[in-house]
Amino acid sequence: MQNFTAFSDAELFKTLRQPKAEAERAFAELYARHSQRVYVYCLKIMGEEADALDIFQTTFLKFHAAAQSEKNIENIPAYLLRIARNLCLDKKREFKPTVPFEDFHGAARDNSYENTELFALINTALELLEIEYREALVLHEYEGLSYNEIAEITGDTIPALKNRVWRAKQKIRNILSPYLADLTK
Amino acid sequence: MHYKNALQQYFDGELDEVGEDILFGELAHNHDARREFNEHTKLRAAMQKERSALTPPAQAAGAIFGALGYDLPLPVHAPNAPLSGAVAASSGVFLKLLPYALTSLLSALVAVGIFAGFTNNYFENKVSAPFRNSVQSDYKASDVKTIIEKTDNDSLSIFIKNLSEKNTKDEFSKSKNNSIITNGISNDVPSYSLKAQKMLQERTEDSMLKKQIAVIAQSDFKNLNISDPKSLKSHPANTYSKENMFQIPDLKQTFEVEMQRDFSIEMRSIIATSFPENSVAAQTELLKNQAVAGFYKLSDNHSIGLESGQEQFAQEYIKNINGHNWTVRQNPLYWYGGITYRFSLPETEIFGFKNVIVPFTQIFAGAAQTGYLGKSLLGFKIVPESRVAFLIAAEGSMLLYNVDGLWDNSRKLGFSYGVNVSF
Repeated sequence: MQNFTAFSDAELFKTLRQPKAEAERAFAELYARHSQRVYVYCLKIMGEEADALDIFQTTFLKFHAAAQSEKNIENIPAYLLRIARNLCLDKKREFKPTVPFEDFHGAARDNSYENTELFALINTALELLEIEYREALVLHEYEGLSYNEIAEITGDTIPALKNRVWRAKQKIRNILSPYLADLTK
Repeated sequence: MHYKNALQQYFDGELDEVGEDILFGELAHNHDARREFNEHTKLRAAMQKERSALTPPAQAAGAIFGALGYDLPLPVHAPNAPLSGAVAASSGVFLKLLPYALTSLLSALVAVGIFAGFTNNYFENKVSAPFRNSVQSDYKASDVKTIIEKTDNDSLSIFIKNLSEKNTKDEFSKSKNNSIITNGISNDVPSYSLKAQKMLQERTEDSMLKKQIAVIAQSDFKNLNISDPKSLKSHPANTYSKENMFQIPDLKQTFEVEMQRDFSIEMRSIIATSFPENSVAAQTELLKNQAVAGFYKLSDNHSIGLESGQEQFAQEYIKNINGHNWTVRQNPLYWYGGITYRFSLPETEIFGFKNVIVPFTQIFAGAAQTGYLGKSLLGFKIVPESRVAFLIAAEGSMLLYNVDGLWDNSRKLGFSYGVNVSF
C-alpha cells in the first residue's frame, strides 16, 4: 500500500483520478493537509458558521470535481482558497449583512463558536471590515500566507495587499483598543 | 521613517536589522508606539492561537466524504465531533426498535395466519399433497364412492366416483391403464380383486382413493349376479359407508412422521441497532441485513448448521492513516459466515397447540470480512406445518476487529425474523 504522506499535493491531486480506493486515500490526505485552512478562511470571511460550513463543503466537492478533469494544479492550497473565495464572494453578493456599530457589544456576546472573549471581539471586529480588508487580513494573519501567495489568490497587487492588511489591523486595533488595553493589564 | 511604517514592516517581516534598531529605540521612549506595538502583538497572537483551535466539524467532513461516495474517516481533531460513543438508555434503543419489531411481528403473524388458514382448509378437505406420488386427483373423505354397475355389453363396471365432481365418474373409468373395468370378462370376477390388489401395491400414497381400492380388493365378487341390479347395489363394496370403507388419515401421525425431516434451509432478516448507540447514523438497511442458513437436525432438540449473510456494523474507532489520526465512523456491509447451533424446546404446548410454538435459543460463531463475529438468538418458531417454520427472535451480535494492533468491537441488539423450510 502506498504511503501518501510522501506525495506532493500535485501528485495527490492527480491520484484523485485513479480508481476509488486510491482516490479515497489521496483525498483523505489532501483533506487532512488543507481542510483547516479552508475552514478558517470560510469562517472568517462569512462570519456565520452555517454559511461557512456550506461553502467549506462545496469547496471540497468542487475541488474533487475539478480533479476529475485533466487539470494539473501545482499550488493546491491556493487553488482551494480560490474556490472558497469565489463561493464566499458569491454568497456575499447574495446577502450583505451589516452590523451596526451600536450592536457591536451585543454581537460579540452572541458569537458562540469562540472560546474566549478576545476571540469573540476580534471576530466581531472582523465583520465590521469591508470584505477586501477582511480577506487580506485573514489570508495574511490567519492563513499565514505571504503577500505573493495572497496575490496569486486574489489577483491584487502586493502593495495594495500590504496596505489593506495594515489598514485592516489598524481598524481592528482601533475598534478593540479599549478592550485590548484592559486585556494588556 | 515614522514608527507606524516601521511597525508595519516589522509585522510583515520586512524590516531589516537597522530598521529594527531604530524601531526598538523608538519603542523604548515612545509610549504610544509601545502601546500600539503591544496591541498588534496581542492581536496577532490571538489570531494565531484561534486559528490553531479552529478545525472543521466532523459532520462537515462526513458530508463531504459521503457526497463523494467515500467511506473514509473524519478528522479526529474536530472539536465539535461527538467522538465518544454515548451510551444510550436501554429504553431509547428499544423504542427505536419497536416499530421494526412490531412490523416484523405483524408480518410474521399475517404470514402464519395465511399459511395456517390455507393448510387447515387443505387438510380438512384434501389429502396431503406430498403423499400424492401418483394420485391424479384428490378425493374428499365424504365424497368418494364405489359404484358397481352392469354395462351395456353385460360386463361388470367397477369405478370409484368422486361425488364432488359432477358429471365425472373418476379417473379409473377414464384411464385405460388404471381402469378396473374389464370389459368382456364380466364373469371373471376374481380378476377384479386381483386388479385392485395390484393397483393397491402400486399406489404408495395414503389416500382415500387407495383405501377405496383396498375395499374393492377385499370384496367378494364370486357370487355377484351382475344381471341383478339389487345384488349389485347391495354389494358391500357398493355401499357407501364412510366409517366402514375408509379411514381418515391421522394427520397428527403424519406430522410426527414428517418431523423426522433432517435438513432445513432458513432465511432471516435482521433488524438491529448499535448497542450501546454510537454516533454513526442509522445503520440497518432492511434488505442488506440478511442471512441464509442450512441446518441438520441432530435430534428433536438439537440442530447444527452453517450460516452466511450480509450485515452492517456501525464502527467508530481511531486509526492512523498516512500519519494522521482519524476517527473512522462508518457503517459498512460485511459478508460473514460460520457455524451455528440451535436448541429447541421439546414437546411444547402453548395456547393448546402442541409443538406449534417452539421456543429456541441459538448461538453463532464465525468470521466477517473485518474480524470475528458472534451471535446469540432467543425466540420462538411458529410451526404451522412440519415443513415450514416462521421464526422471530431477539438477536444480539458482536463483531470483534483489530485496529492498529488493538481490538475493538461493535455490538448490536435487535430482532430477527425469517422462515425455515425442511426437506
